[in-house]
Amino acid sequence: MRSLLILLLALYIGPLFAADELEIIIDRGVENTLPIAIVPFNWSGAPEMPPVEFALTIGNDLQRSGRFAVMEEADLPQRPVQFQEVNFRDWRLLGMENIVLGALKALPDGTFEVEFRLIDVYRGAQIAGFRIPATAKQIRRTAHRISDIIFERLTGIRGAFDTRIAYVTVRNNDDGSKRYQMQIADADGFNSQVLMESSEPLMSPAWSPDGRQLAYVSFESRNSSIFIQDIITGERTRVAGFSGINSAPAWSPDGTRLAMTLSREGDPEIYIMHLATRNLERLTHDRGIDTEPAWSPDGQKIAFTSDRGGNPQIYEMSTNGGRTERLTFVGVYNARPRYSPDGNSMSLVHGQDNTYRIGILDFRTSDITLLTGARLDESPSFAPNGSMIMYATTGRQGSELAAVSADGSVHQRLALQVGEVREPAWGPFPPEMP
Amino acid sequence: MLTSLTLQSSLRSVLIHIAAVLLLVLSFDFPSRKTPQQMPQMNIVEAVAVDSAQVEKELQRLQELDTAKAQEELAKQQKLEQQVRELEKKSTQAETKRKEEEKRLVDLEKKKLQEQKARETEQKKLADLKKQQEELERKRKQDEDQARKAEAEKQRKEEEEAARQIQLAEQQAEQQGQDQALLQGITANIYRSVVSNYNVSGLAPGLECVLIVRTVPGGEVVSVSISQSSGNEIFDRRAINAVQKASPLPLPEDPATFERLGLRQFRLPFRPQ
Repeated sequence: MRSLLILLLALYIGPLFAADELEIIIDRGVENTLPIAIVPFNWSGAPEMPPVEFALTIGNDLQRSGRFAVMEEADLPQRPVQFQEVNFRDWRLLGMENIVLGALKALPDGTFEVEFRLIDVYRGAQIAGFRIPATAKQIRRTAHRISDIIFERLTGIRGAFDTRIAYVTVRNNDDGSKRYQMQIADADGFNSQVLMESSEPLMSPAWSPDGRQLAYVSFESRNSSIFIQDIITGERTRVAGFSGINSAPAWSPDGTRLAMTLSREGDPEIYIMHLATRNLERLTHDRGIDTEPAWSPDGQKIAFTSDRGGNPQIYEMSTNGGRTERLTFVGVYNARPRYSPDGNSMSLVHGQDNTYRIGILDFRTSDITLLTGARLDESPSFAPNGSMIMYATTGRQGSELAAVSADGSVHQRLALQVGEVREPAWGPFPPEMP
Repeated sequence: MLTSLTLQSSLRSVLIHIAAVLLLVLSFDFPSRKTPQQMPQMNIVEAVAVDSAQVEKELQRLQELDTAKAQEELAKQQKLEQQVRELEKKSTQAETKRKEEEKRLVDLEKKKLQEQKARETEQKKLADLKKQQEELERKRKQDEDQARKAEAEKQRKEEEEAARQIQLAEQQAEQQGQDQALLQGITANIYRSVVSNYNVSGLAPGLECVLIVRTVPGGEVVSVSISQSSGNEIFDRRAINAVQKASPLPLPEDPATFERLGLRQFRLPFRPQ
């Protein structure tokens, strides 16, 4: 009886143990960059075309995002052009997950066709493949577009490489005077164009949501004025030239309003201008300085810097007015708010002991995470996909541009031309590709 | 005893025969010593020249003499013969008697023997019976013993079997315990290996997918298939890449252990917190 029981028990335990399929729950992972290799594009189809460093441009884009680890060109185990030429085993041995192949072809009408494939090494399959027509002038931009596609296919987040930035440069003339320029460039700092030049200070560029216009502050008439300039036509309009301060323009997400700081009624206050009518709404009513307005992505709220509490801190209020809420409590200096595109956080300048650093205020935890560690960093601006923040920092030649990934992991300086570079503003996404 | 008895009787018969032969030899010796019948035949030739009457007379006389002699002789002979016969008769009678006696003795002996035999048979029978009984008893005892032994053996075997089963169960339990521990270690290793290759950077929260991973001893990943998709291509791909990059997984090389632990195929649910 006993033996039978044990036998039954053994029989019971046995199959139960064996039949149960092993299951291992993977409940966490690592925060790693994605390995990717960009094989130099084949240019044999367009020998007369000067070889733009296509692979390098894409690689730099991805590297700068902080989400990718781009393989050095010298380390590539092979340089396939066609999918069939890929030796997957070699790439897998190197732990390479994704590779990009491509070629440039000259078309009879003088334009080009850039073909590229994004390949998943471990599945041995193509993730994405496109042929993109381009004129000679658009070749570099095409590289950024490819970077965007790769970024989106591998991270799920829309890429923001084919975007532009606006910034102000300052150069010292030989006669001691200064030359200010409002410039626009590709997000990687290349292809810069001068939009406006002045011997008087230019400040605070702000992009219209459609990317066609730029609002900024100019001191060309000795007093500060807010201008809106069309980027294509160059046409400019002064929208605010009131007595006192006219500064810190910020477009509403729907593009119909411009928030700004005016001191026409005494102390600097936040106003909202309806662009169609130029009507002004005063938003703040406080004795302290209220400035640097920023729109929440949903257009419902405006954050701004105010010293009403004794030192600069960030406050928030509804665009319809009403109660003002203080957002920052840590430190004696928090200024220059910019909402992240997803509205979950805010970039700011955090000052402590005479150092000013870029920080991120997480609305869910109310914690400020510092992303930069220089002595004087200012003017943070989110990429339209929120993955990076561009800001101005103090370099060897004075102020220069730098970018940091939103998680603070990757820092990069954008070495532009000689002179100081200030107040970068990251433009919106370009119109969707046709 | 039988042998000596036969020898005695044969000796006696031999002696009787010898006596008879002696008598016969003696009786025949007499005429041969005189050889009367052979002599007259030789005399017949010499008497030719004798007077026939004389001769006749002589012959007569001789004849008469011969006849008387012969009669006397015959009587003697007859008497001897009679004596021999009587002797013989006597001897025969004695012989017969002796034979009878002998026979009687033999019969007696036989009888005795028979009796003996019968007794012996009886005894044997009894002995056999007893033996049989004893045998039966013994057999019964043996059977009983055997039954008892068989029962004991059966019990012992049962106990042994029970002990064996217990041991087996214990061994199994121990093996399973060992396997359980081994499996726990392997599971932890697989977990670590996959986790360290699982890039969750930028993944949307709240997603889950389940992969079916097939391996071979040594841990080489043969195939990874999606049993349950997260609906997010990137999420699924990151999970697959995590497993592929972790290949070879830290699994036992020994095929027996590999099979026993059921490592050929397993499920990997990916649900990052």
